Amino acid sequence: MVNSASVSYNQALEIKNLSRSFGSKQALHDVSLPIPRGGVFGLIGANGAGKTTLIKHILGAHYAETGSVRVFGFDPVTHPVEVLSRIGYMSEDRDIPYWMRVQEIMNYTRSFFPKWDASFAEQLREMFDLDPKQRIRTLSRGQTARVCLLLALAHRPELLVLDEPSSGLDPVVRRDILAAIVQTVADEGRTVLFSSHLLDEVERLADRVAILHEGRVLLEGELDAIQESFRRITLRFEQAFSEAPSILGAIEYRGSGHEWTYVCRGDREQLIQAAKTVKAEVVHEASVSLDEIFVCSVNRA
Amino acid sequence: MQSVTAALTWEYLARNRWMLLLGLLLSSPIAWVTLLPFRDVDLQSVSQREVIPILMINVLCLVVVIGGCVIATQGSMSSFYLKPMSTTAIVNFFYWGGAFLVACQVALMLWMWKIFFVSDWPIVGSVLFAVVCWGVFQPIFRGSLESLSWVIMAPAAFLILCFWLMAKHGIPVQRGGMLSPQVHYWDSISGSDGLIAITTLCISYVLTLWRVDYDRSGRSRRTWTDRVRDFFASIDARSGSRMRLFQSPVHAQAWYDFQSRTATIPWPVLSIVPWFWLLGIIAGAISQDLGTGLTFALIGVTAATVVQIIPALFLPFISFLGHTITQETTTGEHINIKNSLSLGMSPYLFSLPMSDRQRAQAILRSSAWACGIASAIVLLSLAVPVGLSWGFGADLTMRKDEGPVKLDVLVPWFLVVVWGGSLLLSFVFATLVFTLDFRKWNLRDWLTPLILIAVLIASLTPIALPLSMGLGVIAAGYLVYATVQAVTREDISWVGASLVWLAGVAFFAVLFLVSPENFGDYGLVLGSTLLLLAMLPFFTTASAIRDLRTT
Amino acid sequence: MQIHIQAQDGVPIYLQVMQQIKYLVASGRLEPGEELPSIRALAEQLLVNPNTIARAYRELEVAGVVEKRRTAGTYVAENGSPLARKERMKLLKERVDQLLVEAFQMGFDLDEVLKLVGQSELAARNPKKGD
Repeated sequence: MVNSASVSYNQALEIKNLSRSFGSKQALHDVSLPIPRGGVFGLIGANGAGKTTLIKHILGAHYAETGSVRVFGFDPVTHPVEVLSRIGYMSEDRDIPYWMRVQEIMNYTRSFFPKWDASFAEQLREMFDLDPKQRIRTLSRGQTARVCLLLALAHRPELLVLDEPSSGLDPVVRRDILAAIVQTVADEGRTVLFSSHLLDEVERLADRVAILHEGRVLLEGELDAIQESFRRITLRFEQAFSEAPSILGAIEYRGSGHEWTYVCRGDREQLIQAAKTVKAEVVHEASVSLDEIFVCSVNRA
Repeated sequence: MQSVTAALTWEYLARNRWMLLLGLLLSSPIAWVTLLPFRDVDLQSVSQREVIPILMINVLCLVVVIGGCVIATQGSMSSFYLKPMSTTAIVNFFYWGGAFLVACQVALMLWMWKIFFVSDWPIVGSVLFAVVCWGVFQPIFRGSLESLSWVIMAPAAFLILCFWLMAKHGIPVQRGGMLSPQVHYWDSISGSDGLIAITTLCISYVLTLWRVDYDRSGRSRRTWTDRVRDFFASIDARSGSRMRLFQSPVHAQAWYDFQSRTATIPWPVLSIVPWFWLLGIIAGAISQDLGTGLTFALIGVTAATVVQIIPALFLPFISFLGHTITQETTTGEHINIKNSLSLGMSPYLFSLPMSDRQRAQAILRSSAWACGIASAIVLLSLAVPVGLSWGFGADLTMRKDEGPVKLDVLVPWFLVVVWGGSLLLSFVFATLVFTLDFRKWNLRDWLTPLILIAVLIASLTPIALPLSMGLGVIAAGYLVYATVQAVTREDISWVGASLVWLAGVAFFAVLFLVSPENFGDYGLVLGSTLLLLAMLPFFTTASAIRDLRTT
Repeated sequence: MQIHIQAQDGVPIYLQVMQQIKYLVASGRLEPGEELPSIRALAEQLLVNPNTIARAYRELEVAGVVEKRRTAGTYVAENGSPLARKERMKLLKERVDQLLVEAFQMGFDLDEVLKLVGQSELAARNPKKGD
C-alpha cells in the first residue's frame, strides 16, 4: 500500500465500488469515481444524495464498508497525516471553533501544515478584510466562510475539497470562493473537488462532473462530452397528440398538441430516423444545460 | 393544557431530560468520595461535631452541581425573547421552575445520603439553603453582562451564603466556633431563617426581572464566557504572548483542548480558594484566633478540591450528549448542529493532518496539565495553613475543652485522601471519553465507570474488601490488555508504556507506604483501583480517537 | 475584452468563449496582432475553469483565428483576413436568419424587410437626420 503510494500517481483520488449504509439507510451504493490530478471535479446531487458522505470518506471520517478509497494512493483511514496534509477542506457547516479569534485560528491551523504559506495567508486575510482580533463567533456568515476558505487555501493544498462552498452566501463571497477554485486549478497539478447543487457554478468551473442520486452515480465524465452528448430536439407532428408519441432514443419529453420536445443522449441520429418514420419534422435542435441534464437523469433513475 | 407554560415545560423536559438526570448522577460520587472514608472511623451522625464541616462541604457541592445542571437544562433565556411572552412570564418560568427543580433534586439526594451515610441528616434546612442559593445566583447569571462585575458579585454572594450556612452551626467567629455543642445543624428553622430566605428570594427575583428586561431590550449581547476569555486575553496580551505560534501540532492541539475543554477543571478551584482564604482571615481577625481562621480556609480548600472533580465529571457527559447529536448527521440528513465541540473533536479538527497518536498525546497533556494546575493550587493552599500552624503553634485541630475530637487524626490524612483522590478522579473523568466509547454499548467500553461504581457500591456490602479487590484485579487485567494492544498498534512507544507503568508502580508504592492504617484496607484497594484507571487513558486514547474519527 | 458567459443556456462554455472571440475579431474590436488576456487572467475574470479557456484558445488557434507566439502569449492572427471574412459571413448569416424568422412571424414579407434595411442603412449613414 505504502509502496504503491510512492509511485507517482496521476489520480488524485480513486474511489472503487464504495458502498456504505447507516443503519437501514443506504448512503452510498457501489460508487466508483476516478478523479484525475489537475482539474475541477464537480459533484452534483440533491440534498441527501450522499455528497457529504462521499467527501467524508475522502477525509477518512468514514471507513469504506465495501470497496476502497485512495487519496494520492493513500488510504485516508490508515494514513490520516499523509492524506490530510495534502487536502484543504471547507465543510458546508463551516464549523470552525467559534471561540477563537481570526489570528488564533490561523496560528492554530498553521501548526498542522508544514507547507503553510504565512505571507499568502496574510495576503488572503487582507484581501478578505478580516480583522485578526475578531472572534469567529462575531463574524457574519460570509466572513466565516472567508475564514474557512483562507484556512483551506493557505497551505496551498494539492487537493482542495469544498463541500457546498457557496450555500447560503451572498454573491460577493461566492465570487471569492469561485475565484479561489480558479486560482487553485490554474496552478499546475492541483485538483479541486467541490460539491454543489448550484449547477451554474458547476457548469462554469468543472472539467468533470458526477451526478449523485440516492447514493448512486448516475452519470460521470467530462462535462463537455456530457453536454455534447445530450441534445434537445423539438419535433412537429402532422397530427396533434394529447400524449407524447413514443420515439426511440428519447429519455425525456414534454410539450403538447403538434409540437413535442425530446431530450436524447448520444443517439441523436437514431431519434431523427425514428421521427421520420412517424412523419415528424425537426423544427428546433439545441444543446442541453447541465440543469436539464441533472433533472433528466434524476427523473429517469 | 395548551398553555404556554405547559408547552415550555414539555419542550424542555423532552429536550433536556438527560441534563436533568445528570445533576443526580454527578452529585452522588462527591458524597461517596467525601463520606466514604468516614465509615471506617465511625463518623456517621450529625451529633458528632466533626461531621459538620464535611456535611457543609457536601451541601455546598450539591448546590453547585445541581444548580449548574438545572441551569444547563433550562438553557438560554434569550431563545424565549422572540416568543410572544411577557418578560415576567419568562422569568417566572425560569426562576421559580428552576427553584422547584433544585429543591426536589437536593431533597432526593439528601434523602439518599441519609440512608447510606449519616442517619440524622436534616433535609429541610439544606433544601431551603439550596433554594436561596439558586435565587441569589439568578440575577448574576441571567441576562448578558455589561461588565465583569459578576466576577466580584458571584463570589461575594457565595461567601455571604456560606457565612449564613456556617452561622447555623454556631457563631463561627466565636471561640470554639462551629464545634461548640450548643448549635444545631439546620434541624430546626427559626422564623428569622424563614424571613431571611423569603426576603432574599424576593429581592433576587426582582433583580432578575430587571436584568432580563434589560437584556431583552437588546442593549447588550455578550456572553459571560466571552467576557472571561477577553479578560484573560487582555492579561495575556500584556505579557505579549497572545496570538502565539505553536511549536508543534501536539502543542497546538493541547492548547486547543485546554481552552475548549479541560480549562474548566482548574477554574472553579482557582475562583473558590482565594475567597475562603479571605473568609478565614476575616474570621481569624474577629475571633483573634489563628486556628479558627485556618479552619475556615481549610474547609474552603477542601470544598475546592471536591469541586475540581465536578467539571471533570461534566466533560464525559457533555461530550456524550454532543456526540449523540453528531451521529444524527451522519445518517444523511444534515441538521445544523452545535456538534461535539465539547469533546474537542469537531469535523474541522479531524480535517487537520495529525496522527491519532499525536492527538492522544495532546489530550493527555492538556488533561494532566489541567488536573495538575488544580491540584497544585490545592496543595499550596494546604501547605500554607499547615506551615502557619506549625510556625505559630496554632491549634489546627481545634481540640477544645468539650467532647471527643478526632480532627487531629482526620485533618492530615483526610486532606491527603481528598487531594489525591480528586487529582486521580478528575484525571480519570477528564479522559473518560477516550477510555470508553459511549456509542458502542459493549461491556469493554464501559469497564472504567462500571469498575468505579462497583468498587464504591461494594463498600456497603459485608464482603467489601474481597469484592473490591476482585474488581481491582479486573481493572489491572484490562490495563495489561490495553497496554499490549496499544504497543502492538504502535499507539504508544515501548519507552512511553514503560514510563507510564513505572510511574504507576511508584505511585502505588507511595500509596502503600503512607500510613496504611489510616487508609484502611478498603481505602488502599480503592486508591489502587483509581490509580489503575488513571493509567488506562495512556493506552486507550489513541484507539478511541481512531474510532471517533472514522465511523 | 468583453466576454459574457451564460452558464444556463446549455451551450458549452468553451464554445461561448470561442464564438464571442470570433465575433470580436470579426467585428474588428480585436485587431490583428492584439494580445489576448492570459488563460489564467481570463479564467479569473470570467470565473470559469482555466482548462475551458485553454480549450477555447486551442480551438481558435486550430481555426486560425489566433496564434501562439514564443513569448507564450496568445495573439489575434495577423493573416486572419480570409478566414475572418468567412467567419463574418457566417455570423451575418446567422443574424439574417434570425431576422427573417422574426419578420415572417410578425407577418412582414421579404420586400418590406429589405426596404427597412435600406432605411436603416440610410439612417446609419446620416445619424443626425435619423434622430
